[in-house]
Amino acid sequence: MKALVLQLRYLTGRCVATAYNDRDLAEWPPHPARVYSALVATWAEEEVRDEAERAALEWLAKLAAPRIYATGASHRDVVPHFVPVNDAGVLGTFERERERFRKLEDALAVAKEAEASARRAGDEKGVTKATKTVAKAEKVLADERVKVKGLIEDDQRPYSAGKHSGVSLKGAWALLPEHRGRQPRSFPSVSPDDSRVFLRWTATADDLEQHGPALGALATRVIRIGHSASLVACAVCDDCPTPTWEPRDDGDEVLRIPGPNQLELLLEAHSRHQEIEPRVLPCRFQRYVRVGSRLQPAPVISAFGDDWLVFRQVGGRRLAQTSCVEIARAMRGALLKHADDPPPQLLSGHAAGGEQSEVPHLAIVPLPFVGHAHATGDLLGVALILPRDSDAKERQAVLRAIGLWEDARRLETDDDQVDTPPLMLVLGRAGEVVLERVEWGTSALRTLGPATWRGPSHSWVTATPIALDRNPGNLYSREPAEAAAAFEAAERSIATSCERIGLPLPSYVQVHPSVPLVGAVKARTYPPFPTDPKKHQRVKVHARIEFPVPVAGPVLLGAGRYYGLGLCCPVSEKTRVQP
Amino acid sequence: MPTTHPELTLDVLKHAVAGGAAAVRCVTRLQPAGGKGDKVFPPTYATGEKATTRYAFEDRRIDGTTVATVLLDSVASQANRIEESLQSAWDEERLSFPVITVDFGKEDKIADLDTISVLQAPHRIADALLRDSLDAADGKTRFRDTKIGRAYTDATVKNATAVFTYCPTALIFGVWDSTGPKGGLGSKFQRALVSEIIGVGAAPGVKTASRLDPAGIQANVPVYHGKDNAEDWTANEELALKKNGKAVAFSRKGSEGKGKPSAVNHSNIAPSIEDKAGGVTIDYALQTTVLSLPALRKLRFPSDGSGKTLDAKARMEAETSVRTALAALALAGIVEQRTRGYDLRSRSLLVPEDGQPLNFELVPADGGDGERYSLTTAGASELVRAAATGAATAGFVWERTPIKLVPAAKLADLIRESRRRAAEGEGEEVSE
Repeated sequence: MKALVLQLRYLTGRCVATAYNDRDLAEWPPHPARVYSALVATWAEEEVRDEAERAALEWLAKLAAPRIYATGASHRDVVPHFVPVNDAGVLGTFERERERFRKLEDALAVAKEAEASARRAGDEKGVTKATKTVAKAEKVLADERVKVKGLIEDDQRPYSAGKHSGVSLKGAWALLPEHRGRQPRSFPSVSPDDSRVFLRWTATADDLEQHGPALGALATRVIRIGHSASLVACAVCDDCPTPTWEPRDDGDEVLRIPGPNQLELLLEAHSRHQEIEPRVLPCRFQRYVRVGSRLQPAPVISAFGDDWLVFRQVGGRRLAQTSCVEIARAMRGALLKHADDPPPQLLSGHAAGGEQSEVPHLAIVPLPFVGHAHATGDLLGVALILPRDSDAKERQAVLRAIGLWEDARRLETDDDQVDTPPLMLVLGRAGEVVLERVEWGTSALRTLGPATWRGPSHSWVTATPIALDRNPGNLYSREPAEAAAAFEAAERSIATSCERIGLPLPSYVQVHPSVPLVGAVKARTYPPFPTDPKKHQRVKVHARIEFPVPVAGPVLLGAGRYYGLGLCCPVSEKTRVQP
Repeated sequence: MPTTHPELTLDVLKHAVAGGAAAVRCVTRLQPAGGKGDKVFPPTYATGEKATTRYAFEDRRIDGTTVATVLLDSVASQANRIEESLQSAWDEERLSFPVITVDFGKEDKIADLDTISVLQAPHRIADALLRDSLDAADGKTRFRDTKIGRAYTDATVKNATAVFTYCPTALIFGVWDSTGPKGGLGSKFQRALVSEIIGVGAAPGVKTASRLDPAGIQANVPVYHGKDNAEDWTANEELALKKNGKAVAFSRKGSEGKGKPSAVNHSNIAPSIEDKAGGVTIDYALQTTVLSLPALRKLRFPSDGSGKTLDAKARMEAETSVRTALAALALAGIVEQRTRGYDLRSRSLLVPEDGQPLNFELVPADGGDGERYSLTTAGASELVRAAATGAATAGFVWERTPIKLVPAAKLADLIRESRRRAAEGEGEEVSE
C-alpha cells in the first residue's frame, strides 16, 4: 500500500478557524472534513469544473480517515473584535419600484420579439397588432421611468426644516467611517509550533497514479483553510514526518472527517445555503489519539453510550440529588405518554411479554453538580443515556417521543418558532421542574456534558449511591463481624454490577460510609428505592472503585442505574474528593 | 552585515504571479521608536471583569522556548493602515490608480469632512456611504445607478474586469457586497493580503495616571455654578447660583468631584494605577504580511475593459498582466507603510529594526525557502506603473478620470443637522 500525502502550510504562521461546536474556541489540528471542504470549494468555483478533479475528490472521500502530522499550537486569547456594519443609510432603495420597472422592460422586449416574428412570418395583421402593443409598452415604460426617477430624486432631497427624525439623523451620522456602528465578532486562532500540517491517507499505487496528479493540481489552488485570513499553500507531496495523530476508536479527540458521499452532500448543501444562510458542515466523527502519548492499554467502554440527549433545568425549584429517582420516573412517564403504542423496549424497560427487559435500555440520569470545590450538589439537568448497542429503530422511537412531547409543548405555549420548548415535569410534592433540551453544538455546563462522566480512568467514585442488587446484610450492625461481612457482601455485589454493564471486574471496591465527592449526599438521606413500598427495598451505598485497566464511562451501576442511582464520576486531578 | 537582495523586477513578479510561487511574504522586525525596551500600548479589548489583562496574549513556542506574545495590530487594523498608506501615496501622486471618492468639500458647514475614499470607507466600494452618494457630474444619479456602480454590481469573481478598472484595491483587500442590490448573493471577493503585528517577549506594565496642577490649586477650594451662566463656574460665593439660599456646588456630566476644583479640571489628580492595560515591554515586534497568489489567480477576466471577449491565448497573458498589476499595487502598499512608519496608536510608534532592509520572499508552492527581493519606495512606484502599463496593453486600463461622488443632499443636510444639535447639547442620539 502506498500513501497520499497532502501538505498544508499556514503562510502567516497562524491558523484562524473556529471549533465546530464552540464559537469561542479555535480548531486544531485542522479537521480532515474542513480540509476536504476547502478542496471542494476550490474545485467548484472554477468556470469549468474539471472532471478528473471531481473523480479524485469522490475517491478521496471514500478513503479511510487519514493520519495527521500536526504539532502542538498555542491559543491566542479570544477577544471580541468590533467590526463595522454596512447596513446604515438614509436613502430608500425602491426595490419594489425597480422590480416593476424591470418587469416592464421585459414586457417591452417580449412585445418587440413578437413584432419581429410577425414580420418574419409576413403576417400583416399580426404586425399591426404587435406594433400597437410595442408602442403601448414603450409609453408605459417611459411613464414609469419618469415616475421612478422622480421618486428616487425626491428621496435625495433634504427634509423640510423640523422634519428630521431621530432615526434618520442617527443613520446619517453613522454613515461616516469614524462613527460607524460596530458588531462584536470573535476570531479564535492558534499559532502552531510548526506551521506545516500533513494529512496522510493510505491508497493503492493504481489509485494514486490515477488521482494523484488531479488532486495535486487542485491543491495548489487552495487559498485558505478556515477564515479568509488563514492563508495556506497546499501541495500533494511524496512523504511526510511521522504522524502525530492517529484515528482510534478510544481516542480523546473527536475530529470531523468526510463521509463517502461527502462531495454530493456538500454540493447539495451549497445550493441550499448559497454561502449566506447559516450552515453545519455535513461530516462523520472520528476519534483520534495523539501518537506516543497513549502507552497504556485502550480503555474498556461500558454498555452505555456517549450519545446523550441532555436537558437543562431552566425553571422550577432547584432540586437536591435525592429527588433523582422521582425526576427520572416523571421523565420516563412523560416520554411513554408520547411514545408509540406499544412503547419500545428501549424506553419502557419491559419486553414484549411485560417482563423486565434483560438487555440494557434507556437510562434517565439526573445530573448533579459534584466534585468541585464549590459544588452545591444540586441537579442541573437530566441526561437520556442510550445503550451503546441499541437498535437504530428503537433509538428513532425514543427520539420521536421527545419530538412529539416538544411539539405538544409548542402547541400549548403557542410558540411555533422555538427549537427547544420548555418541558414541564410535575413531581408531586417536590413541585414542578421546567427543562429545556440542550442543542448539540451549543456549549453547556460541564456537568451536563458526557465528557465529565466519561474519563477514562482507573478510579471511579459514586456521585449518587448504588442501589445494591442483593441485600448485603446489616451494614450498621453493632457486631463488628456482622458489619464486616455485610461490607464485603456489598463490595462483591458492586463488583458484579460492574461486570453486568460490560466492565472488567474491579481490582478494588470500597464501600464509603459517608460521601466520596464534594457536593454528594449521604446514602441514608435518599428516599427508599424502589419507590413502590410493596417492592423489596434496596440498600444504597456510596463506593470507591478501582479497575485494573482504564475504563471509559458513563458508569451507571446497580439496580437503580436506569433512574440515576449509581452514577459514578471518574477521579482525575480536578475532581474534588473527600478524604 | 545585512545581505542586500536584488530589487524586485516586473518580470520576476510576473513569473511568480503566473504560477511560479504560492505567495509573496514579508516579515519585518520592529522596535519602539523610543528605543528598545520602551513601553508600547497594544489594542485593548473587552476581556471581562475577571480577566487579568485587556490585551490579547498568546504563549508561543519560538525556537524551542515558550515566549509570551501580544497582538499589537490585528489583521483588520493592518488592512486599514495599508489602505491609508496607499491613500497618502495617491494623494501625493506617487502612485496612480483609480480611487473612488465622496467629496464633502462643497457642502456648507461640513466641508471639513473633506473627501472620503474607498480606501477609507469601512466596506470599500460596497460601503453604505457610497450607496447614499451621487455622481458628482450630474448631482442626481445614485452611485449604484451610474455606469460604474452598475458595472460593479454585475461584476463577479469569474468576471472581475469592472472592479479592476474602477477599484483595484477592492480585489486586494477583499469586499463583499452583502447589502447591495443583490443582497446576500452580491459578489464576494476574498482578501488577497493578510498582515498582522505581534509583540514578542511581551511583559505587561502598569500605567500610572496622576497630575500635578501647575496653578497649585488646592483640592478643598469649593466651586459653584455661576449665577449668570450655569455652565460657568466660580469660586466666589457671592457670584454663585443660589438655591434655597445656598450656593449650588458645581458638577458637570463626565467630571468627577462635585463642588471641587477637579470638576473643572484643576487641582491635583490622585495617582491611580491601571494594571490591566498598562502597556507592555517587548523584545521586538514582528510584522508578518502575506500576499496570496492563488487568491489573485482565482480572479478571472474573460473580457477586457472595452467589453471584448478574449480568445484563450490572449486571455491567459492578459490575466497574468492584470493580476501582476494587482500584486504590484499590494506590494507598493506594504512598502509605503514601512516608509511612513508604524504609528499604531498613542504611545505606540514602531520603526523597523536597524540594519534590516525590507525584503519580499517568493514562497515556493511546494515548501522550502524562496528567493528574496528588496523594493524601495521609488522601485515600488515604478513597478506599479510598469505593471499597469502591461495590463493596459492587454486591454485592461485603470480608469484615469477621477471618479467623484458627492453626498446626497438629504445626507449632507442630516449630517449638518446632527452636528448642529450635538453642538447645542440636544443630540443625545448623535453623541459619539
